Amino acid sequence: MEFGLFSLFDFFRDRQDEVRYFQDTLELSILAEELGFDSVWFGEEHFYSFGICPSPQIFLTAVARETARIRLGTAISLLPFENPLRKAEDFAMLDILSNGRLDFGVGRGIIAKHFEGFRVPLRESRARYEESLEIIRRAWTEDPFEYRGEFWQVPSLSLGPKPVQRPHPPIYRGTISRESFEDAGIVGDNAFIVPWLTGPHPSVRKRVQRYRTLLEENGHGQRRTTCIFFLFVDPDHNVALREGQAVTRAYTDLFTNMIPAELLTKMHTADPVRQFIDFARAMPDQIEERAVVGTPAECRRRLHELDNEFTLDQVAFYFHAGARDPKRARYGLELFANEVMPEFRSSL
Amino acid sequence: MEFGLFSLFDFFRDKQDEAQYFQDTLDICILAEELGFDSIWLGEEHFYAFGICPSPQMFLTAVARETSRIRLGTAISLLPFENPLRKAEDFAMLDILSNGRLNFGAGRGIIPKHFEGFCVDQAESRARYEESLEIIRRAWTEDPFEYRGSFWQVPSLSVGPKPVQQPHPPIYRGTLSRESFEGAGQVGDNAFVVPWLSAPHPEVVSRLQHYRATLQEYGHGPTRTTCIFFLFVHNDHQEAIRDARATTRAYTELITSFVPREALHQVPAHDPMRSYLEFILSMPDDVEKRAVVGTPAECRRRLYELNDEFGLDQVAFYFHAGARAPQRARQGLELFAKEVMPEFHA
Repeated sequence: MEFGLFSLFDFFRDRQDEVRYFQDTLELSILAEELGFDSVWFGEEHFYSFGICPSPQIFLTAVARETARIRLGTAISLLPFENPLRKAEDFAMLDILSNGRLDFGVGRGIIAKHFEGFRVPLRESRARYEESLEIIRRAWTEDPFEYRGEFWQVPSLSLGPKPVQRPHPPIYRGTISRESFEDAGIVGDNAFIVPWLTGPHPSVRKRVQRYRTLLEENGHGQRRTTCIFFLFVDPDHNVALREGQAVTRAYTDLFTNMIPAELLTKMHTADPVRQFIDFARAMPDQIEERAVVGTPAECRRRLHELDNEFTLDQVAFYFHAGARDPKRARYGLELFANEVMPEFRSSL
Repeated sequence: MEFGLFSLFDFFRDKQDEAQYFQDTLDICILAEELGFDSIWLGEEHFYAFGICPSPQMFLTAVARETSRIRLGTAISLLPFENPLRKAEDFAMLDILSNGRLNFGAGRGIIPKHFEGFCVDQAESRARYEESLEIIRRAWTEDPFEYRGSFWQVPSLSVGPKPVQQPHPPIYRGTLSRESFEGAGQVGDNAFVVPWLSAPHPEVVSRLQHYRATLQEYGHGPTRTTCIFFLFVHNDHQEAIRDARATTRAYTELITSFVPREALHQVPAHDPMRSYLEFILSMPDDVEKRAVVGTPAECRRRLYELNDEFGLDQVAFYFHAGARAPQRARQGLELFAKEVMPEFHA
């Protein structure tokens, strides 16, 4: 089992400082490599709608130069908003500047404010995402190439530089819905599993099983999954629990802010958006079932349970979320690395 | 007088390796800081049309984490090709990750292959550039802001993160033509001076004087200029000249390769495009007049002459151009830092 860190750079404008936030995240990424973590995964967000990192590729370039071994992932880079040739160029540069450490996670985005700001219709998100992903893949592997799509036209050209990893850096699809797991299984891309944001565990497990079945049916080899959880570890069970509740409450409040409360209360309880928001909001009260929380011994037990449930491959933890004190994040990472991680390393 | 390095990442696909090229450039940037240079200026190019760095903001982020003092500039970031909000975001991140060391040089681009690849009409380059620059400036300084332009519409929003430098990182305008100098003078932006690529020196001096007069006329305080030259310094004068001719020949042939030679010869001799390309291609034969070439003593003398001519503020030198061996670039920089720079820093 491999371990990583995950962040969407969720940012509280009223109580956090931008420069400090980037510095803290960078320091925690460096610490992660020192402690033996295997990867970091960062998201893309715009216009203070939630997170404060509009270009994970730039941030990961900084991490690349401060580390030597840790894999550098996006979770996720949003494809509907800009010319896919620019994404192909940026991530090829990151792959070069990190000496081939890029894991390219992509998705279509869901935050309405992003689509408004970039003047892209939200209903086109899936089609734009699929088209952009194909252009990026071809720009990395065909030379020259051309493309005529619904949204983008590319005359015959060669894109450079080329990534270091051949035939191209691993591609991870942002997978939450059943359809997105199916798409990933059909084309043979790697996938994310984010149970706390997706649904009750049994339903998430079904989607993952469907993904794995489709991979096999379509003749794809082994693929990788990155499973994302909140982690709160402390020698005192109650401290871990209290911190878990406070952090996930702040986080889910910020996260669900994108839908105004008045609008939400007017929605029917069966509306999928309302269900999604209600499910996210229930997180603080259900963290013991939906996160990894407790003493090191409890966390070890919990990881074994989750491994039985999902067959864990790569696990990535939120570390700097919900306006949590970076010192607490540091402490948690150190405790995890010392007292939880070794057991799962030796079982390899 | 301050000194810096400049590169467009001009890349020879048949004889250079991409990853090695980036590593060499990074190593030389780190060396530049160690040797006491003040700034680095890197360009943006796409689709193997000439240079191999499509995102100087990515590369400068790498440089930022390997250095602590040197200023990090673009020369230039091309504005017509992508949503200016993305540029504002990227460069704000670079300013944060470099602790406020960004110099934002911007321009409209001139290589047809870029415009074709991004499906942008080259006839719109100036208008797109001006609009994008205004959006970037406002995105950095107004919160929230909105914009209705000919090419971009921005609903009321806040762009984040914000750059560290207040009110915003210094803006340098790509200035070659008389009009672009005038534009920079009117708005009070900083400017580039690239004599070897612009015109004979007296004409460049006249454009620069016009820029400074316009600044004054519009009530702007002093601004900065970055003057870019080829530099070939060697203890042996002949060796410096040989290096200069070979490097600038390879470089100018690559930079003009977007116009096929046969096509060039069919253009009437008085056509401005043809005379411009011929001006560029005459560089190797004119290096002693248009570059800084020779022994350290000769380079010192030449810099005094150029200072009298242009009133030098920041000077940036090509270092890794024309498929030149990086080892030669290193030696040149070391010699310059040791035997030329001290006189001008004192």
